[in-house]
Amino acid sequence: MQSKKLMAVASSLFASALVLAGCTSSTSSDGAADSSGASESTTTEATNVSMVLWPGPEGDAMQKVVDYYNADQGVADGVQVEQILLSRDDTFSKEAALMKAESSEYDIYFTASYLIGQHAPYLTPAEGVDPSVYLAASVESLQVDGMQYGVPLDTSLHFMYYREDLVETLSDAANADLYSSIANEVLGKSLTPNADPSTWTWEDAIATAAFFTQEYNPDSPTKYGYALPAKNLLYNTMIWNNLLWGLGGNWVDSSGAPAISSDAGLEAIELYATIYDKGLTSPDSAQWEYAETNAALTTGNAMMALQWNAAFSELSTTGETAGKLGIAPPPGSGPRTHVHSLAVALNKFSANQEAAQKWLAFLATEEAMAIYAENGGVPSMPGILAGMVDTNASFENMIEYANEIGYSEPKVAREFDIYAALAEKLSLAWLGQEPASAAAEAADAAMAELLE
Amino acid sequence: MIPRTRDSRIAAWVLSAPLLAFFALMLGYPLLVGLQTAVSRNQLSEPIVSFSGLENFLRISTDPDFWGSIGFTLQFAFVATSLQLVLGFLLALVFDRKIPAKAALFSAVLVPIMIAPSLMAVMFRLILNENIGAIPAVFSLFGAQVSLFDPAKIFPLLILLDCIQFIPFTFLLFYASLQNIPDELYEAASIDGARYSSTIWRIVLPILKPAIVVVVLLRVLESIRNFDVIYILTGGGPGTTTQTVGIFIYKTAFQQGDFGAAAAASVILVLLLAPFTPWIIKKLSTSEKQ
Amino acid sequence: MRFTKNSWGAFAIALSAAFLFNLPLLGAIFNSLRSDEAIASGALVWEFDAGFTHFQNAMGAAGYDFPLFFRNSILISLGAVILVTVLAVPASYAVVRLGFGGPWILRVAVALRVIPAIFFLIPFYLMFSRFGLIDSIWVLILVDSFINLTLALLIFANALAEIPLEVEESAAIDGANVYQRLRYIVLPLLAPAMVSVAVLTFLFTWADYIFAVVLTASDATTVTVGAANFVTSYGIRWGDISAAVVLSILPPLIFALFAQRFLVRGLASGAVKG
Repeated sequence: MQSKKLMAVASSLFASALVLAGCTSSTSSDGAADSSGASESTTTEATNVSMVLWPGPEGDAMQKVVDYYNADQGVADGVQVEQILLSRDDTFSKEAALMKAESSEYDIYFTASYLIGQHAPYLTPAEGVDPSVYLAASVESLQVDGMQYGVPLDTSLHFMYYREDLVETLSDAANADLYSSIANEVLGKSLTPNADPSTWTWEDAIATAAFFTQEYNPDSPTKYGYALPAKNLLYNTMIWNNLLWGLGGNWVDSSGAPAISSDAGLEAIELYATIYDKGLTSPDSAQWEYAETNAALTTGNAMMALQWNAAFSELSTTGETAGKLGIAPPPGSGPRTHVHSLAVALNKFSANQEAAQKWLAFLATEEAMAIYAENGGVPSMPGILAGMVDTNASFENMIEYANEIGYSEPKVAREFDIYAALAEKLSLAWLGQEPASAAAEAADAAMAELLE
Repeated sequence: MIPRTRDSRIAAWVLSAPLLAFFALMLGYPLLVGLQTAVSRNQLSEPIVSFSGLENFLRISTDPDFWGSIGFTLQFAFVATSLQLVLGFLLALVFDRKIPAKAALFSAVLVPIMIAPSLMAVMFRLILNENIGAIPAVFSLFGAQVSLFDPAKIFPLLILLDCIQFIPFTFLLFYASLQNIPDELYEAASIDGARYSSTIWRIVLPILKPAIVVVVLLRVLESIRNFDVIYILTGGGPGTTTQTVGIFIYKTAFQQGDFGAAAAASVILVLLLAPFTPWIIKKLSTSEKQ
Repeated sequence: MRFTKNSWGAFAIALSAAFLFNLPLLGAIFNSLRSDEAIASGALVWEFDAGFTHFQNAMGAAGYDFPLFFRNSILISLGAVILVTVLAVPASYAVVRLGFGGPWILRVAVALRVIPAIFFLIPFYLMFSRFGLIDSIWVLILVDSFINLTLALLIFANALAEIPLEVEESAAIDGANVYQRLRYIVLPLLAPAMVSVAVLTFLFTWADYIFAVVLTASDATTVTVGAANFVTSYGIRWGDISAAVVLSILPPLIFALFAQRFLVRGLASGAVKG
C-alpha cells in the first residue's frame, strides 16, 4: 500500500524532471542559433558589453581604461563596457562552465596563451589587432591556425633572479678554492666561479647555488642557494620548460612526437633532481610555487630562483632582495624563456559581436594600453614598455628577452592539459624520487594521448 | 507504538511534502543532466557533445590514477575519521563538565568550522611556511629546524590539518548528544559504585551509538569529498601521491576539460559506496525501535 | 557532581584544544597587523601596521565591495538555516515516527552526500540561469540548503530516535493529533539538535566556496569568494587576506555564541521524568 503510493510519487517526480530536462536541452541547442540571430541594439541606445577580467593589478588597471573609454570613445562608438571581476584562481574554471553551456552572459572572456587552444572553438577572432605594435612572441602566442583570437594584455616570462651582492663576491680570488671544491662535491667537476650570470650554464648556476648553501659553505649568508618551485602545478611546468628548451629540447621532436625522453629532457629533469637531492633548496620546496619562492628570496633564505617577471615589483622593494636584485636570462642557449600573454577574447555566443569588436579594437591601440600601463598593467607593447623603464627596470629585460630568447609552446588544443600532465608525471622525478627515464616515458605517453 | 491512523498517514505526507518537492527540484534535474553527461563525449576541447555510451566509464575504471586516488582517499578517510571520532568524543566529555569561561571556549573551539576551507588552506600555507610562517619560527626559537612539507611527512601533516579543521564538528555533534543524557544516569551509576570511565564505556557510549554512526557516516563521506586544503597545499602532489578522488574529479573536469569523464567518475564513486548505505541506514533505523 | 565544581583539569584541556584549533586564526590576526615588509621578511619580524591598512583593504579600500560581500554571506547563511530547518524537521518526524517512505528518504539523503559537488555544478548552473537566478542570493540559499539537508536529516533522525516514545504516546492517548504532538512535545525536545543543525548549516554555508564561485558573479559574491581576490598575479597579499579571514569569522562567531546559550543541559531531561 505504502510502496504503491511511493511508486506513483516517484514516477511523477521522474516525469517532471524529464520534462524539465527536455525543456532545457532544447534551449541550449537553440542557444547558438539565438545568439547569432539576435538583433543588435539600435544606434540610439548604447550597447552594454560585459568583460571578464582577473582581480588584482590587471583588473585595477583595466578599470581605468574602461572608465576612459566609456566617457570618451565609447560614446562615439555607442558602446558602454562593464568589467566583471571573478576570483583569480577560478576564473578559468568558471569560464569553462560558461563556454560549455554556450552562455551569452559575458561578451568578452579573459584568456591566456596557454588556454587559447582550448578556448578557440568558443571564440570569434578579434578584428583590428595590429601585430606590429606588439611583442612578436606575445601576439603570436594568441593565434590559433593563423587566426588572432586574443588581444594581448600582460605578458609574462621568466627571469633568473639572483642576489647581486652575493654573486659579486664570486669574483673574490679568496673564494675560488672553496667554490671549486664544492662544485666538485655537487657536480663532480671543479669549476671556476663565474660572476656574470648572463653567461651562466646550468652547471655554473648549480655550483653557485651550492656555494651559497650552508650545508656546503657554513659561511654562506643564505641558508640555501636556490628556491625551487617544485609543486605539482601546471605553472611550474612552464618554468621547468626553460631548462628543456635551454638545453636544445622541446615538447615534441621534428616529427611531432613527444620528446621528453630526449637527452635534453632527461638532463632537464636531472638538473632539478640535483638541486633538490643535493639540498641546494629547502625540502619544503616540494610544495612551493610562486609565493613561496618569493618568500624564500625576501627572507634571505635563498639567493637565486628562476621565477616569473611579475615578482620584480615585490622582490626589488621588499626584504633582503630590496636594492640587491639582479636579473639574468635563464641559463642555457637559444630560446629559453617561456613567454605567454594574458588576453581578452570575444565570446562566440555573445549577442553583442559588433559592439564588442569596437571595444576590442580600442583595446588594441597604444592609447588604451598607455592608460593600462600608467595604472599598473604591463602591456605587451615594446613602445610603451620602453618608455616605462624608470618605473620598472625589469621592462628592459622583458623586451630584450621576449624578442631574443622567448619561445612559445606548441599551440595545440590541449596545451593547458599538457602542462598539468607534465607536472603530474614529472614532479616526483624533479625531487629525485623517481628515475628520470621512467618519469619521462610516462610524460611522453601522457602527452601522446593529449596530442591526438 | 504510535497507532498508524489514516490521519497520521496523511500527516506524514503533509509533513514530508516540502522536502520531497525540494528534492525533486534540486535533485531530479541535476541527476538527469549528470547521467546524460556521463554517457556523452563532453569535453571542453570539442564543441559537439555526442553520445558515447560506456566509453567514459571504461576510461575511468581503467585509469590507475583513479584507483590510486580512491586508495589514498580511503586511507586518509580512515585515519582522519578515527582520530576525529575519538578525540571529538573525548573533547565533548571534557566540555560536559563545569568549566570557567565555557561559552567562550566552546565558541573558540568551533572557530575552524567558521573559516572557509579554502581560506583555511591559505592560512595553513602561510603559517606553515618555512620562511614566513609562525609555526616553524616558533620551533626555531626552541632550536628545532622543522620542514613540514617534506614529502616523507606530508601524510601526517595533512591528517593533522584535517583534524584541526574537523574535530570541532565531531565535537559539536557528540556534545549535543551528551546533553540528552540525564544527570540521574550518572548519579545512579556512581551510587552503584561505578567509576566515571566505566560509566562512559558501559552506559553512555551505547546510548550514543546512533550518534556515533551518524558522525562516522558524515565524516567519512566528507573525507571522500575532501578537496580544498589538500588541493591548495599540494595540488595532489608530488606526482599523484596525495591526490584524493575529489581532486582527481576536479582536475578531470576543470583542468582537462573532460566533463563527461568527470561525471562518469562521480557515478562510479556513488556505485562503489552504494552497497554500504543500506547497512548504515539499518543501523540508524534499528536504534529507533527502542 | 559534574556540574557543581569547576574542573580545572578539564579547563586546561579545553583551553589547549581551543588554542590548537585557533592556530590558523591566531596566525591570521598576527599577520593582519603586520606591514607587508615585515611579513615578507620573516615570521619573527614585527612591524606594526599602524594604519590598519590590511583591515581597510578587507573592508573595501582595495576596491572590493566587502560590505556587500558580508551582507550577502549573512543573508545566504540565515536563509539556508531557515529553509533547512523548515524542510528537515517535519520530514524527519514523518520518516522516523510515522514510518513514511520506509528507508528511502534517508537513503537518498545519504547517497546525496556521496556525490561529489562537481556533479551538480554545471546542471545547477544550467538550471538556474534558465530562471535568471544566477548571481542572486536566492540561488545560493537553495543550493546551500540542498547541500546541508543530509546533515540535518541525519541529525534530526538520530535525535528523534533518542526521544522515548512514551512521551508522545501519553499525549496521543490524551487526544493530541500528529501536528500537536510535533509542535508541543517533540519540538522542545529537539532543541539541542535544532541548534546543532542551525549552527552547522550556518557555518558550512558561510564557508562554501565552489558553489559560490560558479553561481555568482558580482551581485551575490560572498565573503569567502571575495577574499580569494587577494591572490593576485603579483603575489599573495598575505596581510589583506589575513584581515579578511579575521573579519569573516565575526558573523559566524556571533551566531555560534548566540546559539550556544540554547545548547544547555536540562532542556531534554525534564520531559522524560514527566
